[in-house]
Amino acid sequence: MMTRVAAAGLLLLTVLASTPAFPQDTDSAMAVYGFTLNETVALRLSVSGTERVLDVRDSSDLYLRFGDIQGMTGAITGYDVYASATASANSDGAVRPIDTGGLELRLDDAGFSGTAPTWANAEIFEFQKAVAPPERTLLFTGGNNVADSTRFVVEARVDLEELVSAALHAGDVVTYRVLFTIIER
Amino acid sequence: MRGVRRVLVIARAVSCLLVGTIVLGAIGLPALAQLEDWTCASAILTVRVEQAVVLRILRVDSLRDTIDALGPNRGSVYVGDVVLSTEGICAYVVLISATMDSGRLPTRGFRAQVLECPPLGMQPWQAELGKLPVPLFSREADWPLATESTVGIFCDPSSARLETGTHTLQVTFAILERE
Repeated sequence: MMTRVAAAGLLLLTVLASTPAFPQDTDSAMAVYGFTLNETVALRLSVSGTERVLDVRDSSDLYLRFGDIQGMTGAITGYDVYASATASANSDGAVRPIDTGGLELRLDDAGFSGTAPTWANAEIFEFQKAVAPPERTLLFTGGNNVADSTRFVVEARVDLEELVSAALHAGDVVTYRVLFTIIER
Repeated sequence: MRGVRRVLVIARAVSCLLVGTIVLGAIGLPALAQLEDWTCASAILTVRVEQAVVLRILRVDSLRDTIDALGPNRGSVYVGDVVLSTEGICAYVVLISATMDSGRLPTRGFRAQVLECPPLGMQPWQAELGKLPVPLFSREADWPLATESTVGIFCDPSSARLETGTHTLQVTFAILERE
């Protein structure tokens, strides 16, 4: 009898020892990395040939051309790039706003480079009149969540017949500000 | 039993907390996704107006070297004409002045008249010649197209009262921006 009781007790202890009901000691560790996304889209410009002289003695052309505006987008998301412009005339130190003053912009289709997919506004491949804020002209869309930069070139010129309507005089300086805006889509 | 109830209460609270976190996260993430990132850059372009008006004398034609006070049309003798090219990016006035024999004699009796010109903006289209510049014609801005004007020079010998002999009439044109 004693042997049976001892055997039963041993068996019970064995079962209890092997059951998962007993708490097991576990441990874990986790590394957490946090970062703040300041900018998901970025735009940089470089411009050359920004100053032009208007002289009626050399008035054989209908347009006054500026140097190209070269832009580069950086994005980790889809985005749209727009352009708008303002103009002002400085006469003897007095600055007065004028309309866009005949400024025209064109996206150079040969100037596109980059691996990110882009879709350009076909109309802007021909010279279009620049619009004043808050209006804006869509140049192209791109990115589509590909973190790659796209380079683009915009040509700028002034229709001199329209510039005349600003009633300019010798010594006046007309300043155009071409505003490029990139917006996350 | 009391211990079991406490455990159940704690477990329920923890589950509520988890559900609350998940619900808040589900609401908060789309709201964050609607925030657009944007930035802009601007390019400055300038145009400086160097020369706003230009006048050129293209031709001096039909110069009459003899004025006969007794000839036909003696009241208004056609001396010759001058073809001008004018252009400007603003409104402008063309002035005319003259001297006779380098200023030694008066220019009375001589006048200039615009014979041919695109539409003009201002009278007079003719002017008596003198040492001081006087307006001949004016135009509104229509640059960049140059406009040609033909200006005739006429003489009234009875008013000129010049002595017989050779005289030299020097005609000067000037162009002024008009405010």
